[in-house]
Amino acid sequence: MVKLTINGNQGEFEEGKTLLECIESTGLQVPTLCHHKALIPYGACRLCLVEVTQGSKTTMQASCTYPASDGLVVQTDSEEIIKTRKVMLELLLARCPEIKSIQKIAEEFGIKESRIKKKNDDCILCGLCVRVCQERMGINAISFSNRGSKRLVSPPFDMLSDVCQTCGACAYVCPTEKIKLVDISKNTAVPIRDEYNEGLITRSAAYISYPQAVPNKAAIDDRYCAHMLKDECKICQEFCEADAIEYDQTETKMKLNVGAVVLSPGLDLFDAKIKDELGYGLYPNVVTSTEFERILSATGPYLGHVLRPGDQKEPDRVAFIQCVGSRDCERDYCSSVCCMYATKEAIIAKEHAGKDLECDIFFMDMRAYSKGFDEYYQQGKELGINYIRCRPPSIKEIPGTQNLLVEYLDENNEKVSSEYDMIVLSVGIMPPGSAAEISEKFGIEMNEFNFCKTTNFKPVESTREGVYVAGPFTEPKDIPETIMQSSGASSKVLTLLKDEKGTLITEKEFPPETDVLGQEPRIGVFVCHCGSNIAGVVNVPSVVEYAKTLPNVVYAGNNLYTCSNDTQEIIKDIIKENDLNRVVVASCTPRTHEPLFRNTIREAGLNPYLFEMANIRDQCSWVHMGEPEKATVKSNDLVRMAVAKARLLVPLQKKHVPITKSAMVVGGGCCRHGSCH
Amino acid sequence: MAAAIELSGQGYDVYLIEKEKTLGGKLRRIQYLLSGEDPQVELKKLIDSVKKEKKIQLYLSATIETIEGSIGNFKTTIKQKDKSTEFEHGVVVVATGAQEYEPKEYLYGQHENVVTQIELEQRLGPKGDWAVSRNNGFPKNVVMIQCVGSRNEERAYCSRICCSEAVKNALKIKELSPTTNVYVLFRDVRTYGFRESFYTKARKNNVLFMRFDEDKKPEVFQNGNGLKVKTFDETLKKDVEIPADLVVLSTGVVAEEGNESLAKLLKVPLNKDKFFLEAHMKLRPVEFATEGVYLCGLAHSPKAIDESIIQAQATASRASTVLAKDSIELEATISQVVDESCDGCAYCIEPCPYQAITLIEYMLKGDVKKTVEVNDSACKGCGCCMATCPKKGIFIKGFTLEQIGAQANAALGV
Repeated sequence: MVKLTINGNQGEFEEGKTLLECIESTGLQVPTLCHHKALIPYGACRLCLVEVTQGSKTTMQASCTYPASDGLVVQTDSEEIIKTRKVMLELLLARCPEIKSIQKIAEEFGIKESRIKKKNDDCILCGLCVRVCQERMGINAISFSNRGSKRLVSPPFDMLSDVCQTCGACAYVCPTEKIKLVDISKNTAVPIRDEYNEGLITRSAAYISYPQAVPNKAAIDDRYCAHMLKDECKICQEFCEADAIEYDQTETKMKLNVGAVVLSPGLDLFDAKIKDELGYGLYPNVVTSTEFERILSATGPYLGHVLRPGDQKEPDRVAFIQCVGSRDCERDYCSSVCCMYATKEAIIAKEHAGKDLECDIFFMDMRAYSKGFDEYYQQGKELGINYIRCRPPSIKEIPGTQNLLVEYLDENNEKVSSEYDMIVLSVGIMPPGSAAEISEKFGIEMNEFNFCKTTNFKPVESTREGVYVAGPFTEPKDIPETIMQSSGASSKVLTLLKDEKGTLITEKEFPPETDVLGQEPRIGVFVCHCGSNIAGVVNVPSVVEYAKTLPNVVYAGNNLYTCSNDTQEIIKDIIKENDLNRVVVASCTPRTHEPLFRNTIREAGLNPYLFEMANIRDQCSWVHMGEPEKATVKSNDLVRMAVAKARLLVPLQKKHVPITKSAMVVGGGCCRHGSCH
Repeated sequence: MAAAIELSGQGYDVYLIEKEKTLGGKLRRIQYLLSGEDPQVELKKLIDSVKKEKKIQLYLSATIETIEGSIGNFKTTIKQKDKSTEFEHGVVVVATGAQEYEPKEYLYGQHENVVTQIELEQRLGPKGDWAVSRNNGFPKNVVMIQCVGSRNEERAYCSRICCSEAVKNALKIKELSPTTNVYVLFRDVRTYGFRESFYTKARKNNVLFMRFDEDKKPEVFQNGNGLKVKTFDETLKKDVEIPADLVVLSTGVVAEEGNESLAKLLKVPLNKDKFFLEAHMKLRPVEFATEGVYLCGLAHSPKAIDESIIQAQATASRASTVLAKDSIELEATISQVVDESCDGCAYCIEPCPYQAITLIEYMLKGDVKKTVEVNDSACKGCGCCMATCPKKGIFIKGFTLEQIGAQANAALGV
């Protein structure tokens, strides 16, 4: 370990680190434009200057390149440093006056205008792009050329590169956002389509498929990952604090012995491009209903702001066209859900964009047939949604405006032309593309529309015994109908496998519970970094130190991820070593993690109710993201409260009530009318 | 029935309570289906499976007197004539069905040739007089009127099945007597899913669909011995008069009258149309917020046969999540009564959203002592009782006044 004094505070740091890394690990921030964790330090921008005192000698050094060694005294914010940093910033600002990242740092140092004569450059020669291309990608598609004041970044001989793999790393790291792939590469960059957002935006090769994904884990797309394709990069591994990146993971095939199968492969949506008269794929402001659903979503491409994709303008008039790919000659069925989702999307669009947004829905029959649907339809009408009973034959774009024209016959059989800013096509439900393959693999029959064949009296059974089905695989249907059918299918499985039920269960055994009654409380406090989720805002080490000062706290420590499996083992050991009889975890929400921690302390022999949680993520680092100091003070408050309660916790026991294993069914009918398909 | 068969199939004992003398409900009157399946054959199979299954105890002509207890341990008393029976059970499935709307409009009950779809179906079915006599006696003009008793001020909801039912019967008429003119007066044709293709088929078979508006409902008049239907056709934008030999009303589905009393017994809610209200429209469609009580079929809302069966099977699956266990583990952080502090004022009983608290009396040192009692299985530990109690007579374990007070003091730094 290396001992350093940073701004008067002594600390121990890992060996082999630079001063910048040590400084940042204490939560202090030093400005820099040319540093990147995954690249060899370079010292180009000179903004990270600090004063380094070794013995009697004090010098000014770029902290990003200066190795930390024992006994160094570092000052990051002396008057001299600030003054020098300001000069560097003025020079950068004079060179690149329009660059936002420089303006932002300059503003933090109170500089609005540079006193030096301005040039209008957009490159600060930090070399991040050149370095990432060389060090990480091993490509060398760009480099510095010329010397002195004429130095610049370019592909060799100023000709578009044919080795560039259009990975985009250079553009990604560029602090001035100057780099454009079209200036570098002969190859055309193909952005990765963000599938969850229907391709309205792009994503990176390492990604989490969507917010709240289950499991909520990142994946690497091996079709695009520079490492998977060319054995280079590996930058994500450098950044992952949990050390979770494994490039050698491969697809595995498993053999499962099962007694029954439930097929719920879902649906495909109708490809609106097939109806070329509607202009989808041709006119940018004609979107499908699923795309519009993403546009309305807070996690969507425009964060819930209603914008049209063509030019990202707010629309004033939106039209929905129903039955696109349903109820036509090729598909003589109704998709069952589109009338309601169009009404929902129109209502939400009005909520987001304001009630002045005009929404017209072109429909044939309003099929609001399920529980509560007709009332919702009435609500839509009351909110000003205009329902027009007509199936418009075509959509045309109005040249110049990207607006769209719909010609139709109104209720009085008169021809009307309406102009819209945006048109939503309510695309229908198709059987899944895999239907034929599934049918063959499982030996089950499909119906005339290529959905799975079922009957009225066996609605969750395929034509093969033991193969059950649920969801829109059998017929277009909405969420509740799908949920019911899934439950129905699982009941069939339970019946088929009733003799085998529970045979694979092993009861978990716990050690006997320690009797803590009458014992003086001995509280352990575990404070979680949650990677940078908490520690990026809250000063976690200081919260730990604070917790140690609280009465009855005999242990306080921090964990990178308190919820990880390894940490559960560590917590159990610490409980035993310190003879803890109460545990407090300061981390995220008890809604998701309280059961886990209760289980952990139970495994260590403590009653699970001798546990208390402080939610310093949701209530501190998230809501006070911009106020790290206040977030830390509040974290201390929450920990103090949790400890105060923990002192008074007593063991509680869960009661068990035996179950009468029988059911009463009230009503011995089947159904009323024979309106089944 | 489907729920009972499914539950017994999984290995549980079932008490099946039916208020009628026979099983099968309204399905007994269904003569044929769009799909071509024979409903009576299928119904017989269902009834046979119920009767054959030893695990199903069938109680016909039975009404429920009382239901006590909660999830895992219910005790119910039923009455058949003068006989009372009591039994214990772990869960309840509500499958009470619904009724057909009895029309007051369109001369129904006043003219013998104004009938409902189900009445028409009896004549068209395999043993019906029209089916037997074929073309003899078939009327020349049949007019069907949709949304009778549905989608109006009194009942704002759609009865879901009547459009397909009209299409089914119209197709049957055309099959038996192709020369008969069939007119269907509708507002929206709601033949969702695969039912759509039968609507297409009906149009191809020259069934005439004429749309009317909610504000301009058709009118039925007596026309000599026959009938006449006057409607404003929304496509032609004209008043049209159709001489009709038979007017068929597509009557809606209305909630069963007994729903209110059963809801009260089970402490579960109804919606404003008196259908039972599930815990969550989308995610918990067959459950009630009250644990251990499930819902299926037309008691939930109007629906077709396959949809009713699916829902019945779903209740069996949800119910088995309870019945599969030997015991229920109750949450430890629930309310506890401090008998010494409780004076039985009963303030806490009303606010409890789970009906978990009851007022009891017992003899203490020669006096009647009033106090409240908590049903541990029903209590969810929400704390409404504790917040209401003026005497510190009830508290939530793990959230005592002392514990919360210590937290508050720590927050305020006192």
